[in-house]
Order: sequence, then C-alpha cells, then structure tokens
Amino acid sequence: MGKYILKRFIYAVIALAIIASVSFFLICMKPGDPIVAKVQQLPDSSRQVLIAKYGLDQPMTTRFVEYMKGLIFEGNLGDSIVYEGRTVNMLLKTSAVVSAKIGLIAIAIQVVIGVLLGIIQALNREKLGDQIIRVLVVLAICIPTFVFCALLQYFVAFKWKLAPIMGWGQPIHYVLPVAAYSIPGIATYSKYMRTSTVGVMGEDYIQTAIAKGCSQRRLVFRHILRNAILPIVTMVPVAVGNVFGGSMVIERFFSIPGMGQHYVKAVSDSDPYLILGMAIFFALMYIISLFFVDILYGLVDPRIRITKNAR
Amino acid sequence: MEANSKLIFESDDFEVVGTKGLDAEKISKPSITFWSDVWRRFRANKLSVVGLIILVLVVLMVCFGPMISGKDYQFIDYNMKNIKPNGTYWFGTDEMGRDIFTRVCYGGRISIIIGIACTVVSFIIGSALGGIAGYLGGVVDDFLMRVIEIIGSIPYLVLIVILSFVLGRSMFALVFAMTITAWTGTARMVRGQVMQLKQQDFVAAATALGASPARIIVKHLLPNTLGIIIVNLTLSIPSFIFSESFLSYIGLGVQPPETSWGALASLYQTRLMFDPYQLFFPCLMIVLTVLSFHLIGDGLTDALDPKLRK
Repeated sequence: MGKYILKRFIYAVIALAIIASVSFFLICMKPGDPIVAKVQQLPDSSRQVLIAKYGLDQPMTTRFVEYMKGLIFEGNLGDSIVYEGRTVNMLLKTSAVVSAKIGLIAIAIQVVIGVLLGIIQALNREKLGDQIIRVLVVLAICIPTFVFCALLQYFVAFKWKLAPIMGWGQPIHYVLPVAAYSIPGIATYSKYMRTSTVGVMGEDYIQTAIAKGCSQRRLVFRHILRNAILPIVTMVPVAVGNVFGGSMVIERFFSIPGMGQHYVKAVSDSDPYLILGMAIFFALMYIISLFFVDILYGLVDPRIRITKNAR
Repeated sequence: MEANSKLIFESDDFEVVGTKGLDAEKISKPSITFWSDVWRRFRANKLSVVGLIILVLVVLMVCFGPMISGKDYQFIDYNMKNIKPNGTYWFGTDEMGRDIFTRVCYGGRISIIIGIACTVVSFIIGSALGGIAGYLGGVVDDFLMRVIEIIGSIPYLVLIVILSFVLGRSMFALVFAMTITAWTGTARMVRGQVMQLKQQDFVAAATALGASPARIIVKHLLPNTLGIIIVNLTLSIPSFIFSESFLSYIGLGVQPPETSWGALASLYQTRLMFDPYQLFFPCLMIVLTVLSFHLIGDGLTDALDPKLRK
C-alpha cells in the first residue's frame, strides 16, 4: 500500500508540474501587451517602470524560472497586473473561503439527499414513486445550472420573497446559491446510488442476511448501504476538489465574491498572472482530490492496488 | 394411452400434414441486417422515439425557422422592444426589438454545430489514439495512458477558460478548447474495447492472413466497438452543448454578433425580473435538445447492445 501511495503521489506531482508550466507558457505566449490594458494614458517612462516591475522585459524562460521559484519556495502564486498591489494569495484568502463554504454545504446536502433518494428508489423499485423520481432525475441532469439559478431567483426570491435576489454577507444569502449548486448533484448521486443499490440487493450475501432473519433496518443500514455507497464515496473527493472552480455560473449569477467570480473577471480583465495563479490553485485542489480518490480506490478495492503496482 | 404402448412404427403410421408445395430451402422472411434489427429494438422504446421526434422538430425549427418567420436575427427596432409573445413575434422581442424566435433559431444552429463539431473531433482523435494504444500495448500504451492521465487531472473548466483567454474568442478556439480534454474519455473507452477484442479469434485470423495493424484497427476492431462509440456520441453531443452554453453564459464563449443558446440566456438573464419569457425560450431549447439526446442515448444503449438488457 505504501508503494502504491508513493507512486500515486509522484504522478500527482508530475501532473501538477506539467500543468503549471504549460499554463505559464500558454498564458505568457498570448500576443498583446498586458500593460496596455491597464495604462493606456500613462507616459512611456511610467510604462517602462511597470514593465520592469513585472519583469515583462525579461525573456520568457527567465520569467518562468522566477515565477516557479516564487511558487515553490514562497507559495506565491503571482501578482495582479491590472490591480496594483493585489496578489493571487490575497484573493484566495478572501474568496476561497466563500466558495468553499457554499460548495461544501451543497456537497453535504447532495450526498445526504442523493443517497437517501437512491436507496428509497431502489427499495421501491418500479413503483410509482421510483418512476417519478427517475423522471425528475433525468430532467435535472438535462437542465443547465444557470436555469436553476434563474428559476430559483425568479420564484423564490422575486415572486415569493423568501430570500434575497442576490448579494453576500448574511446566512440567508446562502439559500439560493446552495440550492442551485445542490440540485444537479442530488440528481447525479441518486442516479448512481439507485443503480448501485439495485446491484447490491441482487448479491448473495443479502439473501443470506434475509435468510438468517436480519431486521429490515439492520439489512438496509448494515448490509445494503455500506456496500452500495462505495461508488459515491469515491465521487465525493472529486466534487470537493472542484468546489473552487466549479461554481463560476452560480457565483456570477448571485454576485457572490467567490473564486469562480474572480477567475472569470480576471479573464475579462486580461490579467495574466491572476489567471495563471488561480488556475494553478484550481489544478492543485483537483489533483489533491484525485490523489485521495486513488487512495480510496486502493483501500476499497485491493485488486486495483495490485494491478496498478504491477505496471 | 394405447398409441403410447405401441413400440414399433411403420412408415404409413405417419402422414404428411400441410407441407405440400413448400420449399424448405426457401427463406420466407426477409433477412434482417444489423441496423434494421437495431432500429426495430429502438422503436420499441417509446421514450426514445419521443426523444427522436423532439430532436427532429428542434433541428427542423433551427434550420427553417428563420425562413418561416421571415425576420432577421440582427434587425433592431426600438419601437418594438420587449413585446410579449404574440402572433407576429412568436417568442416575443428583446430589449433591442429583435425577434427572439429568429434569434433562438440562429443561436441553436451555432450551439448544435459546436456540439457536433466537438464530438466529431474528439471522437476521431480519441478513437485513433485509443485504438493504437489498445492494439499495440506496451510502451506506446503506457505513454499514451500517462498523457491521458495528466490531461485528465486538469479541471476541464479551468483549462477551457485559459484556452479561451489565450486563443481569443472565436468558434475555432472554442471547439479546440472543449475537445482538448474531451478526447481522453473516448480514448480510454476505445482502448478498453480494443484490448478485449484483440484477444479474439477473428483478429488472429486477420493477422495470420497478413493484415497490417492499421488495417486490423480500422477494418476489424473499430467496427466492433461501433455500438459503444455511437452510444457515447449521442451522449457527448449534449454535454458539449452544455459546456458551450456554460461558457457563453459566463461570457467566454460565442461573441456577438454571433449568438448561441448560452449567449442568449446570458443576455436575457438581465431582463429576468421584468420579461421572464425572454430567458425562458433559449433555456427551453437547451433543455429539450439535451433531454432528447439523453432519451435517444438510452434507447440506443439497449438497441445496440442487447447483452446489457436484463
């Protein structure tokens, strides 16, 4: 197991290094002068000062080495060019918490409701309730997030006045974004949970449990749930890793000062280091989550551990 | 019971009943090809047929809608702004007095074309590389799988946003950005299939007859993975339509004057409180299209691979 984890860890580091360097060169190769966007009216002398400050007069490789040094030894993800004195790390400090709060609450809701719905569906297979939920699940998967945002905002906030239309700061502001974030996930989790529960219910050990006189409650919680939840368990870390970059639409819709919002804004501002730093952060989070998934898989299913080691 | 007790039968104990004039060698039913069999099974699934009908209607509307309405999607008329849906303006007009029906049709063309283009590109790359990796195995396979693993560990929205920043906001850039990660899924799937198939006897036979690896992949292995590829095709078109609408929605996708369903939704979202119908129509089209592809995909899964059916 130790060897397997080490191997996965090395892959994760290599992947991250490749992503960081490729993004750096991609972003820096973009034609056009990032300073121009900021200071069109400034005289040439101030321009030169700025260019020197951000090292834009250096060749790309020198900048790359400088950036990587800062990244690895100081954890400095870069400075904004458009906004004087703003760094990616500062932005992350304030906005990552916001995105994480919304995302984590939403994921908790998704998992709990999704798993419950899936089990209830599987236990009442092909009955009316199951059919209705299945139709709703298919619909929910086919509806883009911004449509949920629009529906919630229009009905819950505008027509029924149950929550503020947008904004950030008070607990009530969580309601709509979290709801919009949760719905597609609930649908996905309940779909997977239903399939996997149905699969588990066909296994021999469930027959054995019934035959030895297991109570319904014990059967569901000890025997079915424990086995059927495995695919969900491996899906959750990826969802958590995606929390920071995955809510761009929701944050934009409800004007929430989260990371997604800042990322999109950095792109429309053409702020290269801001984009780069945030992209590296997103990738880091995602890769960490994939690393956990790999370990989880290894723990859950020994066969994977062996075959991957054999390579 | 008396007949049962008789143990020895003479030839005149038997009588030929009703086969006179029939040719036993003749095939009475027309032979069914693979595809007509698929179609027969597909038709049996009512929901999938509904999906197919919805899709055909959407495509017809998107193709011929502007001709029927006879309006231009860029024509601005400030006297006619924010009109609710009526006989002249079937979906109403927007803030600049443009006919929403015509705009939705034009936007749909872009959305669907992008969906199909991305799917085609990612499937060509994915099945070629997946086929090679699966067939050759060894170092090539290892290398390609590592590449796929690394590409797969980039959060794909983040990459799309970077690429749309670097490449500018053209249609080409959009398709490129969306396919650069998407092909990996196809490649994995085709590789898995090919690895299973290449153990089978018909591949050994082809090799023995001196067929080149390229011929074996193209002629023997890929056609046998076609079923699964087609199902994945039908399911990947809606996911590209989804991504496109998402990107256009946050302003990084299709740029004006061109438009797409996502771009329209983004534009009309500002009028949500006053004229919700404006946002409703592009969203409805996205949902209908994606839903129809999902229903068709479900039906095709059953129709193409009877083994999967319970």
